[in-house]
Amino acid sequence: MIDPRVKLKNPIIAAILAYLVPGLGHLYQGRNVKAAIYFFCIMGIFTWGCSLGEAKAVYLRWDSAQGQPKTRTAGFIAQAGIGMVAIPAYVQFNRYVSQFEKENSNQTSGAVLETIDADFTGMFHHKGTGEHGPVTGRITGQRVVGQYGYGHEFTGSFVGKTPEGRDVKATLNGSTNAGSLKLGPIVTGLDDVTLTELTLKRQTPHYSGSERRFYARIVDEESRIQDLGVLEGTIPRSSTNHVLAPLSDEAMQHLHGRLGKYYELALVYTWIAGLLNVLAIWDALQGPAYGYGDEKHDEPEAEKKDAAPTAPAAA
Amino acid sequence: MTPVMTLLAVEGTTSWYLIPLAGAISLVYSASRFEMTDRVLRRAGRLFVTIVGFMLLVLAVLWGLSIAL
Repeated sequence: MIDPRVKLKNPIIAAILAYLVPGLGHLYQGRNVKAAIYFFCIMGIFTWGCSLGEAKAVYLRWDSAQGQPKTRTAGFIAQAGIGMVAIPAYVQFNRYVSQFEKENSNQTSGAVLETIDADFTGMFHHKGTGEHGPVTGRITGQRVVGQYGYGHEFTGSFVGKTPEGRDVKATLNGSTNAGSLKLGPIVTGLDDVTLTELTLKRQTPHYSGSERRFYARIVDEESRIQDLGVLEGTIPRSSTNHVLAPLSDEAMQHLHGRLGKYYELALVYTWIAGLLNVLAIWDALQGPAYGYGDEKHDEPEAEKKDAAPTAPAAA
Repeated sequence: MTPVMTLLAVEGTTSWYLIPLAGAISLVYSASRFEMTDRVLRRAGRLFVTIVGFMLLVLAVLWGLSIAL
């Protein structure tokens, strides 16, 4: 029975609020100290966990490849105790699945998949002039469905500068079927790639996340066929397309390799935070489990004091 | 410095990360049991000491077992 001194207001609303943000349900009920305890303790270890895992410890993934079940569901069930994270992660998972289906459905050749107008950072290699090196600039173009509905093709252009300030202009063309186009998905996911080659060259790790890999051929401007070289690097991916989105196997391996046990700690912290919020939700719904707290029978010290005077008399 | 403290002082040890975790678990668990702030804090303190004490006990046992290795 709930102690009448505990005012739960509308417990259903309080439980929903507590699920969305730890402590919010208790704030609604006017139980401010508890709201502070739940918020700072649960969100504290959760954000610490996210920080240890470089914000890549929380995501939902449900897929199977080559008959092998590959799921990330058990861990996510624990993390899903915090609604403000679980709901966006679920949305990101569905966005990735719908994007994947859209890109792999039987579409008419030439159908536009996306228009790219983005900053580029990477390397260029020009066979004709023998030039190669780092370059930054802007890529514009369109990614379309390939011939006969298979694969993707990209046509566009690049305008940029080398670190020395020299202008670089190039016409770009590539096809995934020919291996001359490699472009990370719009939403990070299972087919994403990590930039191993670039990592080696630039000594800075790149993960599927805030950057998408871009690799296309530099072609002759007139014929658009003659292969003149390669432009390889990254274009940015918006935070709405990578935060809480499912990770690729390669990205996961890189994270494990680099963060080691700290990534495991990140998972444990976020799991425990999600599970602790279940206690907070239950408290918002049903009140404290043992009572208000001033009941004497729950206090072992009080029991000892009460029992102390009678003990010698019995002896 | 005692051998156990030397073990805990090793760079990169993750044992220290368990202390705030134990503190958060103690506070949240106790808060879900009682309503009175005073009672919650006392219970949380006791639970925290129990958890950390148990972990230290396990650490000491493991250290003792590994002496001859």
